Amino acid sequence: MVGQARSRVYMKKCQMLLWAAWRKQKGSICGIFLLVGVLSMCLFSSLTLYVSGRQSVKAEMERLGFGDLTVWVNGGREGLAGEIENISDVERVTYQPLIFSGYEVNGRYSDNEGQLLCPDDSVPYRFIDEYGNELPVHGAGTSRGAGTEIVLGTVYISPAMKSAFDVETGDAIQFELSRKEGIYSLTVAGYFADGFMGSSMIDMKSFLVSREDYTAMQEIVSTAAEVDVLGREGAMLHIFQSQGSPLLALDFHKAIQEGTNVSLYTEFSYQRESILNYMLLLQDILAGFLIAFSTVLFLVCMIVTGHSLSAVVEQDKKDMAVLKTLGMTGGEIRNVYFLLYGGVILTGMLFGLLFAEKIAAFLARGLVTSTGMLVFVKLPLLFCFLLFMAFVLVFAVFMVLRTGKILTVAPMESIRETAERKKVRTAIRQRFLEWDIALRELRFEKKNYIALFLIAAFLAVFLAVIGRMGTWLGTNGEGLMNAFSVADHDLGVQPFNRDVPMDEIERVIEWYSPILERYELAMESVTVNGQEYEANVLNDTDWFHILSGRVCDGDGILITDTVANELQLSIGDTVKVAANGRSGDYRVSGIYQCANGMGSNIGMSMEGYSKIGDITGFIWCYHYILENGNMRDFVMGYLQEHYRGVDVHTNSWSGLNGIVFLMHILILALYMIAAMFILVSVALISGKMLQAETGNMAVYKSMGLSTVRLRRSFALRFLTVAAAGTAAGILLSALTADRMIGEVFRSFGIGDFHSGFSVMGTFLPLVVIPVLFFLFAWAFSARLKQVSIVTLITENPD
Amino acid sequence: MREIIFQGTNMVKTYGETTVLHGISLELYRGDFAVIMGSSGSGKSTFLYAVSGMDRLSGGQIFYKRKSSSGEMIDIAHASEKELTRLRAEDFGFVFQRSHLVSSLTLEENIRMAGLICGSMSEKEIWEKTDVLIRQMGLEKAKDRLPAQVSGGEAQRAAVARAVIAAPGILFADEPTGALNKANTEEVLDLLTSLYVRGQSILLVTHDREAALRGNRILYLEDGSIVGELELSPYRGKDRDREQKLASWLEGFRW
Repeated sequence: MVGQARSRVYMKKCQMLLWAAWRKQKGSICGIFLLVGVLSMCLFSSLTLYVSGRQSVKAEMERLGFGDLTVWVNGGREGLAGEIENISDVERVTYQPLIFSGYEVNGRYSDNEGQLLCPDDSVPYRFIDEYGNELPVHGAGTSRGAGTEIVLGTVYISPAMKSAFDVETGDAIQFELSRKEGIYSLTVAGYFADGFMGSSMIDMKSFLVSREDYTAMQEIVSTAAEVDVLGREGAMLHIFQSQGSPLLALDFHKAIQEGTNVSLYTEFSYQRESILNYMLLLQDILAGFLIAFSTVLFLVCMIVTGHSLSAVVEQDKKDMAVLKTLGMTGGEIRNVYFLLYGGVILTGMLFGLLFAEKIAAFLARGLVTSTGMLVFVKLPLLFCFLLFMAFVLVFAVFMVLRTGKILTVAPMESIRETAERKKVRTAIRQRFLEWDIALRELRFEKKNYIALFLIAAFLAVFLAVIGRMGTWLGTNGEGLMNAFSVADHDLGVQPFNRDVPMDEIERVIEWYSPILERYELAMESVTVNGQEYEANVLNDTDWFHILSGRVCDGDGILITDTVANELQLSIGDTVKVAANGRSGDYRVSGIYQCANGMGSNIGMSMEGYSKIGDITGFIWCYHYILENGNMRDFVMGYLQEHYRGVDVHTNSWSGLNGIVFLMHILILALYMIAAMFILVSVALISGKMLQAETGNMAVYKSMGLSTVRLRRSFALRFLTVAAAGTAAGILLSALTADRMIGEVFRSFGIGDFHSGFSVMGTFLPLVVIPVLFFLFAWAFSARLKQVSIVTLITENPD
Repeated sequence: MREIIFQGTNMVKTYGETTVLHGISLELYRGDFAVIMGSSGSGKSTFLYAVSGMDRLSGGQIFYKRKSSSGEMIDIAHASEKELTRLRAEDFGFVFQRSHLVSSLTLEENIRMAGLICGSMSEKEIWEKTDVLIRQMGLEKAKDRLPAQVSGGEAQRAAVARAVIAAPGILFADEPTGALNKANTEEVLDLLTSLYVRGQSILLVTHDREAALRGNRILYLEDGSIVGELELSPYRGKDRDREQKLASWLEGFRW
């Protein structure tokens, strides 16, 4: 009974103190709630997007029937399925017929073929509206993907084409099946989620057509004369490995190639993991970037919370001392602060968690035009719980450390205020009075400003990183263009015969923009250890994007991560490369980055390729780097219109615009969140400072210093500290940013990141962060207007 | 003919439904050491806020004649914040019960700061005047210390020096010895007296009889009205007659 009564008294005490603390600190509490809430939203939504994306694409690929290995073959090769099934490691093979065809949309020819599919009930495609929402399934128990439900004369496309070709519902797509009356026009009826070719990273696109249209197109292809035929029949063979099979993915692939005739008809083939990684590449970059941003926000939250706690403990020291004289223990008092701050952090985290799913869903919808996939967003409960607990633990430890001072508050010492202060000397001049007062306060209470300095530095590093990314990305996505291509270039011109006047073409290019660099590239089919790949041959191998190792010479080759995984190769291994009946042994000199053919390619030098192939034909494409890269589209248009027997292309790929747009939006959103964090941080820190300095401010006022001058001086402190923090952050980012981003990008298969100086990356944070700190401090110091000299008179007005 | 520096007419101050000042009218003269006395709740602090522009009157007027050569009159009750700031910088000096020095500045810097804010003197003049005041106030040893590192008396002397560095038209002192021990009280009162002797106008609010003795004009406030006024000869050290005169006058108010 006594124990219960004591506990009731204790609870009552805590309740009263909590209420009192809340009344006094509600501004800080709300600010911390906002910061933690935004952090939680950012973190959990990016985690949700990352996990849900993986799960969705995996599930979708399974649902659509993709096997452990999918092989695209030409011709009607239904018999191959049975042949492959005879291999003991194969569980089953499904056969999905298709037609390969070039196409034109809104007056633009696609660089790559599309694959036309006629869905039946065995492949349940999902259909999407123009906003990225899944359309309801028509009819009970059936999918809209049933062939009969696609209306004759219509076609469903990947949403990625929307950003690539500005295709809208109702637009026409012309499929080029035959030179003679073989243009087949279909009207876009809507979009569908494509488990493989949906991503704008993949040039080849799938098209869903009705059974009748498919048959009609098949008829055109099969009856067209050999010289006229443009389209061709083909199929996807989805090969499933048997559960007990001990073979690794590479050996499984090899077993199929060696045990069947499939390699004779293979257009290309991909393992499930390769497809998955390519589908998720853009989404992973986005999620990874948001997670990195969340880490910075987490640090800022810790700094602000730490500063707030310290300031509160300092300000409430007298009250704590009084409570101690009344018999409360330090532990009991600390528990009150624990409950208050722990409570708000927990609530903030939960609040953010509530919105995380919705934000992730919003991002996923925004990504549909880039990934071509519907991501079914669901909070990954286990991951979220673990992360949540980790954060709670870190914050708890942090609070224990920060509130330790409460335990040592000595009652009379605090009440008497005998603390010794160290004096500082700085000049105080009439001409720079506001600045000098600011500087004195800064130096006098310098530990109060460490938090500001760190926040400015962290945000500067991150904004500089974003800025550098923006610079790298470029207005038109030049960074991505270069990252995923064989080598950087603005314009490529490949002549197909001797009549093409290359000298004249170069003069035309020079007329638009001076040519800075020029090199030659050939893309030839080769086999590496018997596996088919495309060889990118350069006359100047320094242009390859090396991830590790060295560029290749005449005796070496470069391989991509994809090839390294598929063939289980590493740097230093020797491989047999063959082409046109000739072969040679080459050493793998390095890993390089090129997304062509989803990474299924190798790099060679002209000298190296000359050992096995003919380098004298019209295989070379001239690549140009222009002084004004923005002119590339104009030059391409002009050359395509005025010259025959030549292929002109830029470094862009279909769907790039969508990604670039999304990344620019993301960069803008991150800038805005950073500004919001500065706002809340300044609100919290300035609030505590003004509270602590009310006396000094009133004294200055009594001496005749106007509120405007006091506010200016106050805001100048923030400007000074933020400028120093930002400068440190920019310096740090200059030393480490490229390496940091480079490492992150490398983990996503993007090598050779370099940004250099940029207005957005360097100048903007350097100016904007201190200015924002100044402006927000100026705004929040408006409460100085309310500081009255009357506060200096200790008696109550009588 | 004495020069009027404050002229208050029918000054009224109300807080909600409570009237604290009931239509006070009075004049203060240049060179006066005026003392406002009264019991707790009599309205003496409210009166000080009103005449010094710290608080607005609810009714009536209060004019102040500036120390500048033009001698313009300002209606303090209706002056803008900008005008009041200017008055605080150039015309008014304040000494409070606690020293209220800027905690991050040394005593010397606190004194100098008031001169810098005033803006009517050159830096050289301010530096010289600060040195003189530090000597006058006996702060040579403490001048480089922070307010938290000196005694209450030293801090209050620095506060007085700070209040007078810009040669204000009037010095407002609100219970300046209320938080001091006897020795420090004497020191501060001596300082105020020496300033008065040199012509400084002072308005002191106190309920300390010893402090009140330093003045030459004592006003007694009761329930927001001036109910008594006593003229004393200027203070020139211990004077039994003056003490007797004040004591018997205060007895009339059951003090």
